[in-house]
Amino acid sequence: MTSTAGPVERVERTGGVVFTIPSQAGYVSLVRMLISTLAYERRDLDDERVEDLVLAVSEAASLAIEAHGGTGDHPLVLRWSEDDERCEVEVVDRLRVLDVDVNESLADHVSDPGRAALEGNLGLPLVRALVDEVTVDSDDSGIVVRMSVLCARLPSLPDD
Amino acid sequence: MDLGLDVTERNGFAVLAVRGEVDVYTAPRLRERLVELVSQGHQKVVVDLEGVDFLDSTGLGVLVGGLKRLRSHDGDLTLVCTQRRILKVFEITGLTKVFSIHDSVEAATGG
Repeated sequence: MTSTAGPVERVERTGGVVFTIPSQAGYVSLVRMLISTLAYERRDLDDERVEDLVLAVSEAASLAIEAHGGTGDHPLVLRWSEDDERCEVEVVDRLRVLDVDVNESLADHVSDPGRAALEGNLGLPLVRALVDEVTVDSDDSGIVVRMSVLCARLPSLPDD
Repeated sequence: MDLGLDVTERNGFAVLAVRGEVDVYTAPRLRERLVELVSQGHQKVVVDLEGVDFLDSTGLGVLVGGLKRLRSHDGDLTLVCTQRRILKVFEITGLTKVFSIHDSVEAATGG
């Protein structure tokens, strides 16, 4: 099913939701709202983990939007999927201009003598610190930043 | 998206109270306000983050830039923040070692 509401195209598919937004900075807050709405529906994700995922996705979307020049000419695609064990969000750069190194860690940027000189480049290292898994791959759809958080296993409810 | 930036003066400090979400869209306004304060001659600036609902790496970068700018003018920038989720971003990035972070504006301004 595909529907369009304002600038956001929402495509539901089995086990997932795909959002397409203009690649403009003003839409990052909308990304946060959408991801938090989906994540809070999971009763096995506590508030802190939801906040971590929302911040991570916001960072990845911001990186992609900045790489696109922030003009909004090229839409940004976000894909949400989930199963019993995890929630996963993909930020897809269809322009293939996102240049990030998934192996970059905060330690590369936040050395003791360098901390006070730090003004940028924290986005992806922060993503790595916030989620359980992050990968950056290239596939047919573009450069894909994939972020996952593992969900707590809840005890089974007793039978009636 | 609304970003509130209100400046008051207290004990010789310029206190910049930030409200709302600081992200890639709104952070440039925070940067402009900090640059303005420095150009007006303020050397001691307190940024009160108690009203901030969200802060990302762009916001962190702006605060670090403000700190550097003030230190280059023999000044300083300190923060007020007690919110766990905002403090967490500073802790993850190691910036708790760069900024003085206080529990209240009174503590940051010495009364």
